[in-house]
Amino acid sequence: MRKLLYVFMVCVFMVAVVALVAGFSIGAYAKETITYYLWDDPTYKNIVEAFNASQDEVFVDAKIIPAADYDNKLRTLLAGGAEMDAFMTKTAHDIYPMVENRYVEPLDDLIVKYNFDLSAMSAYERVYRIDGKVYNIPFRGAAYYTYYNKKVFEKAGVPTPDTYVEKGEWTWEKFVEVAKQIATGDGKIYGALMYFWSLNQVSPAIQRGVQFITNEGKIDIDDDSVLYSFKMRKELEQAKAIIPQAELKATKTHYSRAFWEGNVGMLLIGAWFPGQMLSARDGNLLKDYTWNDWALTRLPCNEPEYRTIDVPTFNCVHADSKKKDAAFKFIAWMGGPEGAKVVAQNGFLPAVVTPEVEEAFVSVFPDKASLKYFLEDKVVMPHWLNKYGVGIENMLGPVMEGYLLTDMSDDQLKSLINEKLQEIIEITM
Amino acid sequence: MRRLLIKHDSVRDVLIFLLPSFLGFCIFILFPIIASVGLSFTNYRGGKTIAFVGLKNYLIAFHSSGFQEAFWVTLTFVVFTVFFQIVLGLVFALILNQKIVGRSFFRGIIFLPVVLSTIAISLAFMLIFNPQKGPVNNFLMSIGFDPLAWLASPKTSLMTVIIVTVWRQFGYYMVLLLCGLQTINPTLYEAAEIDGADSVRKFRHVTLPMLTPILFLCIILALIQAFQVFDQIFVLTGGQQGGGPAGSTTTLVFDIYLNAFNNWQMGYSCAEAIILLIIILVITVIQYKRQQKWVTYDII
Repeated sequence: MRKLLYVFMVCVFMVAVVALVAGFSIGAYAKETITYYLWDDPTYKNIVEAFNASQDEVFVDAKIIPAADYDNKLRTLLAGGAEMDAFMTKTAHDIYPMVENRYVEPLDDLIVKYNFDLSAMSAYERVYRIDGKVYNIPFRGAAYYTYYNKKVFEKAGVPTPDTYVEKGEWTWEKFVEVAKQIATGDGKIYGALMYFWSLNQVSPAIQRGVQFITNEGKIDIDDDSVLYSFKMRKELEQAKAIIPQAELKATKTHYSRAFWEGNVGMLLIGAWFPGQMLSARDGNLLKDYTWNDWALTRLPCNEPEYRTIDVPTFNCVHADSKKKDAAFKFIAWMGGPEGAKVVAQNGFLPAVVTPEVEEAFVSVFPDKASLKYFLEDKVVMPHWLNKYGVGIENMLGPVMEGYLLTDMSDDQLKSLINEKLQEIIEITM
Repeated sequence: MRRLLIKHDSVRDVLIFLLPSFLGFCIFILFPIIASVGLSFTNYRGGKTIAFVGLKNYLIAFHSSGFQEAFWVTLTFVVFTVFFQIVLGLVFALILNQKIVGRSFFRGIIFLPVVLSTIAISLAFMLIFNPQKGPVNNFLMSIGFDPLAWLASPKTSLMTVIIVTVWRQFGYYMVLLLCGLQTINPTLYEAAEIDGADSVRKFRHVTLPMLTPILFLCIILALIQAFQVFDQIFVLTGGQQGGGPAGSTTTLVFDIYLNAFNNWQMGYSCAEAIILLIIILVITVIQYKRQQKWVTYDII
């Protein structure tokens, strides 16, 4: 009996030693797993998978949240101290409260440690550098364009927007005129779709450089361009040239679906949309038109020098992450030249445009002219990038709806905007 | 054999059985309320930095046009939903208290929305009230009426939310009032008949007074629920995008949500929540004090 027990103990000891050695061996070659939060655009999953396949050090465990709920869920997760290593930010001005709340890690040391070249995205410095420190790495470039359905223009017998761009006539007045010409007036065909996000409400004002509230907390409204923006939208809705904003919200109509339906002539939206068009092509979702029947050109602009609008999309490292190096390696890849190629192959404008990126884009666009406008050098005006930005973003929608759906006069509108901005300044302590 | 003598302490036993519920109440209700009171005096934004700001949040709330608008929207919502829920509940309770064919079936059908998920109901009504393709507008057009904007207009969006809320909830009050009707002593009706009372007088002088205790309970419950409305507003009016057109469906609770989760102003939204709590408390206390004037507790 004693002998048997002795043999058994020796066997157990040997198995334990072997397991320990094997464990160490496996551990030496195991990837470091990081938790990364993003929203449910299918192309982002492709980008994460491309990263995981490209190297052996870091594995990204993607936590996907539906886009419509992403902002609120992310804020709740951050406030609740959920475990995460890195996350994508959907609303650019959220970076200010995130920095104030110490959710995001300053990246300056990591940038030096891993020799990351920020100079290639210096155009976005206002977004990634806050109070002198770098808090995020942009991976998706910023620009709004006019996407258009050639078939709709053909049926209406109206020249496509690029015709006016080439003549230097693609202003907001021309945009309104063209939208009204295309629209049937009965809701069957709309001239354009201007989504209900706040920057879509006041694009002319953003192009002018209006910030609504400055960094110093002063109200900054160029009344002409702000009022112009509101009146333009009202004119278009009254002519049934665009889908009414309230209807877009009430029916939860997504801009991509509306454009894929084939009954919208133009769509004013950002540089990620070619990626969504790729998804529509692959999923056979384009109705009554084909891949070659769409194109893009510049955003309408009334300013003497052409400028578009938008802010880039970026990734952050969570301040409480225990794997900051690994998280940084991922977001640096995504924002760098390697990641930019993958971002481009998936139809998004990356933050860094290299010759390889340009090559990758060739298959993403239906024609060369669209590619030319997509990649051309241009001034990009950001919107309300300071600590008041969150309040401004949330204020503009209801004010616009009030103006569109009631008999509010121009003076009442100006007074209301001023009042609301003053409240934002008071609340933002 | 030893016998164990167990001493019964009834108070201790009661406390032990109440402990799980009480702990749950403390963790999920009492402590959050106390924390909210504390946070309402700070500039808390959900992060690691916090500073005491005194009554600033409350002063801002009272001056804020957003808060004032939300208050009036809430008041409108409360008045109409409470009124229609109670009236419809009473009407159907009276009808279904009679011996009619299919009484049990109708009671079940009317109560069914109460047990369904508010989210599911709201999603369904969002499709039903679709201004372009919804069946309600299609029906209106088929009988020669103009379609309504429903959730897409500030003039009709609150009314639409009220309709959905009343439709969902009145069955609950119908059941409560039905119970109340069935506890009324039949001899009171016999006495009234002997005195020559017709149906209307019997309803006015027997049914209503005897129902007042249940009516009081229904009104209190309906008021509290109406003040706390959130789910159907969030789903019906696109909560993630800031709610109904031009803030027409932004109630106080929804405004609290927007300030906390869209604007990162958690300290301020706590102040709004405390103000709402005080409003509900005051109304409830007033109701309790005034009940002596109109609630009949005499039991014959």
